[in-house]
Amino acid sequence: MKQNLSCIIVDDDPVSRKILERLCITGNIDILAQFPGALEALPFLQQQCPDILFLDIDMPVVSGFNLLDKLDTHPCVVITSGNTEYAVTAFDYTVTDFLKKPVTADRFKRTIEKANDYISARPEKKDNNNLVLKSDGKFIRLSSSDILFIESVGDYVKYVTPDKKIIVHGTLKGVEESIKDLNFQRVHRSYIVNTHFIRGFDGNALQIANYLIPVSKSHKTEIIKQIKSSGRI
Amino acid sequence: MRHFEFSQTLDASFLNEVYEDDLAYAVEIFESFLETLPAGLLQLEEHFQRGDIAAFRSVAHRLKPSFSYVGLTGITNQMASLEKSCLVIQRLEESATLYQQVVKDIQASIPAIKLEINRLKSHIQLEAKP
Repeated sequence: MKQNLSCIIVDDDPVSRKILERLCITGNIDILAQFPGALEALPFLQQQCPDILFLDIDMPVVSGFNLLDKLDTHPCVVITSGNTEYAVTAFDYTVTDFLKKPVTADRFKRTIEKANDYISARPEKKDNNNLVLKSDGKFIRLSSSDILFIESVGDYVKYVTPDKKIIVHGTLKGVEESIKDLNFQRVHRSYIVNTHFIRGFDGNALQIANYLIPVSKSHKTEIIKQIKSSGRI
Repeated sequence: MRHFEFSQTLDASFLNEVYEDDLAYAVEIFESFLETLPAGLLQLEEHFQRGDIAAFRSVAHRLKPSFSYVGLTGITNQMASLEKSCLVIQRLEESATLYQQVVKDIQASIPAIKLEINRLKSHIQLEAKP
């Protein structure tokens, strides 16, 4: 089943937020949150990554552009502004669309078509050392350096960090592809480990934090080589 | 539901484009507009009295599109002129005439907005009857 797109709305004008809210509801777009300013939105965007960010520019204290400057990576951005003079700068930020206020239903539909095109053509959601995972309908940003190991559980994969477990739909093969340049190694058909956290190896299992992760015969030679070269044990 | 004709004192064509016969939505936005407008105008006045051009311009910019959502596209244009004037003036007094005219026009338009809310509600009620 096709999942709804998700979004957040950042605008200091309550009427404009209401208009966008209604247009999103009509267009089956899930609104994860609404913020009256960029400062309020920043902590949310550092933790989660919605599909679309509806962003006003002229806001008190921190402008929409300043907010984009503060983000390492950003979702599909739709600028909503009454001032077309911002359009040129907006496209320098590679935004998906510029929605001039006041917004009409017809124009909004075209914006969503553009956003859909952008999202479906977008590569794996990964930026430098961060992974963006979709779990329970929400996007969660996770630093790869926080992951102890990743476990396959049926049609799902579980990302385990020292303080949380995040379960997402997918396969370890798909995960391997998205983290191939990072410090991870497949050690079993059901496990990928962050080699940085290996604390011991008894010949059959790796000790990672308080977990014992089984190592399959086919991966044993590679993991021993890895441990020796790192000099950690 | 029978088509609702927005009042010709408002920009009916734009209102049709925005609300596409979703009249409950129109009522929601019109009421929200009336609810938030006094605070916005008060902010505008405070910044004007203080002579704070940047803050005045920022509030004018924020309020600007909301007038269109209730069919007052003319006031959106006036607000745009007011906002633009802030980029060239040295003191807010220079925009006083324009500002006072905009406020006067806004105040004069409020009864029309209230009337339209009542018309919308009556139409919705009438159409809901079996």
